[in-house]
Amino acid sequence: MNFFDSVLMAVRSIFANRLRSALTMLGVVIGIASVIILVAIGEAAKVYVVAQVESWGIGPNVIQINPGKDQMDVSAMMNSKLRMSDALLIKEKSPSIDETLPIIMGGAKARYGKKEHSVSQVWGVTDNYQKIFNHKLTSGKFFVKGDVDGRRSVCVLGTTVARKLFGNFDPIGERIKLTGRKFVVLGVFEEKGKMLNFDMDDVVVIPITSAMSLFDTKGVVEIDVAAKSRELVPKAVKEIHAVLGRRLSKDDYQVTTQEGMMNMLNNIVGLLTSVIGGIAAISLIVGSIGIMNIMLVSVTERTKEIGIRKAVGARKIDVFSQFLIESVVISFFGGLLGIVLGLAGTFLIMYVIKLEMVVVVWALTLAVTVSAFIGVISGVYPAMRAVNLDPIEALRYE
Amino acid sequence: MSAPSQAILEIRRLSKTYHTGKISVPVLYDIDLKINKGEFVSIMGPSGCGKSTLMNLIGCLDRPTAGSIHINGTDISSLSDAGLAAVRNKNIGFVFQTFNLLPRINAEENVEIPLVYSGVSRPVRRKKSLSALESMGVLKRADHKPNEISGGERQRVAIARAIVNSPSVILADEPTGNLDSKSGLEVMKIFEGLNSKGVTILMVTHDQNIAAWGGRLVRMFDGRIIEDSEIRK
Repeated sequence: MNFFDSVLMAVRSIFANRLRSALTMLGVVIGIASVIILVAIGEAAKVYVVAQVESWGIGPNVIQINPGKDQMDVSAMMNSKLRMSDALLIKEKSPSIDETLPIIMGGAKARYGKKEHSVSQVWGVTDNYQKIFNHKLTSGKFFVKGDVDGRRSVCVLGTTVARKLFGNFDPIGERIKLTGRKFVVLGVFEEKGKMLNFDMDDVVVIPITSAMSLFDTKGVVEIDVAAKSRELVPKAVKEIHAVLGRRLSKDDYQVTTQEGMMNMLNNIVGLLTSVIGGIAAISLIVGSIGIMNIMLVSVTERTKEIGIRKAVGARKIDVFSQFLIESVVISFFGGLLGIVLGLAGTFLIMYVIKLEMVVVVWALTLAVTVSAFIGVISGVYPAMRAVNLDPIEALRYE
Repeated sequence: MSAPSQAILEIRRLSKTYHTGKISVPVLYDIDLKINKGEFVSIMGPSGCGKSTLMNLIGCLDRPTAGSIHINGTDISSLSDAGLAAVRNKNIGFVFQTFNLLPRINAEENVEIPLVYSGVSRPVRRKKSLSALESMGVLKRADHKPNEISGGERQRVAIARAIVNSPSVILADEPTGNLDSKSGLEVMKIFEGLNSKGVTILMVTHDQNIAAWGGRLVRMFDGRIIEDSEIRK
């Protein structure tokens, strides 16, 4: 009996019990789909971070200082002990460091005439903002050192804010109100688009000194530090600790390098991988048991058929391959369905969180291989049962 | 009688004992039987006399405890499982009381099954299968599933399956047992026709009238052959 005939026979037998076959496949479908989705998310996250870093122009020499002992320390973010003066002092005292950029963040209601818009991000920064962030202007200019030192009420708008308040009008030179305070618009940023569903253009950037009085705070939530070169990053980190350590305790601030960020991301992706990977593995095992169970039922149900086939000349290998191939076909179909479902799921998730969809070919190949393998594992025992049926008994079976 | 070289089936000192746990149940004792090409032999005997066991042994579905069976000169007791399967496939055509067609596939595909296991290509299979159905007068039922046709037609499809690989011998076990007398008569006419073309038939039956269709009658009792005679017509 040739292979093509066997596969055709298996497919017909599977279609003869559509619902049962579909339910049997479910375990494999879910397992494979979750593997596909997981891998795609992981890959997309990595691509995202790289793209993010590139689009903002944050080089590998940039070091981030945040309040609190880790990223989860939210209360430290609210009551930051970092000050603008720390940024200035780091820059002054550290030979390996080029620039330091202190940032204060808040939200504010922006008004222009009768138009109102809640700005999600108001950033207070120093005049060297564009030396660290690749955030170009389409019109106007960025504020200068004099604006920062003089606590001037000037601002640069993200495109979303500009559009909401001014529509198609040129906002340069106009006065807007941020939480009731008047600010003169100096420039408008280039559009950045959405990332992870977060509108990067719903932003207003003002001098850090003005932000202090606007938000009534001195707490800096981030200091971005540019080392003179990538090689000098470790040295720069030491210099940062030397300066901050004199005034603050170890739990008051944290220093993150790009490498550290990558490590953190990899840790998160790794955790996600093991959790979903575990779920997928369990699902595949359950799926495999399901297939084996159904194949055993199928062998019992078709005892008479097996007897008839043996009587007309089926060899043991014919009977064995009939059931094994059927099991593999079920599992393989399950795998293919899982891939389709997984890709659809990935597409949906990526659409919702606005990330580029990455199709990982090795994951698809692995999925197909694993599902076929599961078919073999689940099919061997039931197929052996079929092979070992006594043809006389089998023919008598009703 | 024909010359020994023409013996299609030669059974010598055949015995079969079933072992169930510690108890041994002897079913056949020292059977000797020789059937020549073209014979139509009816086997009769009460239930439990061993005739089904004999058929199973000749049909290579079971192995003898002692003795030998030669089919077409080959001693089947020395064959491997695969060898026995090949004999069933090429030399034996089974016709059962309950037809034993596969319910999910149509008549034509049922008849194809032995050819599938002989490795015959798809187009040739179909051609042979349709021609076998035609010779049984059920060509118009080729696309019907077994449950869509009458009992007599089912048995004719089953006979088509039995002859499709041109076997040396047809083994029929109560072929009319599940049929009304009219359909039974038709089936027997088919056997008669096949036999007249030289097909060797070995048939087990309870029914004296059915047995009378054969040319030779073998009676069995308690695992032994007690009578072996020609039937006069």
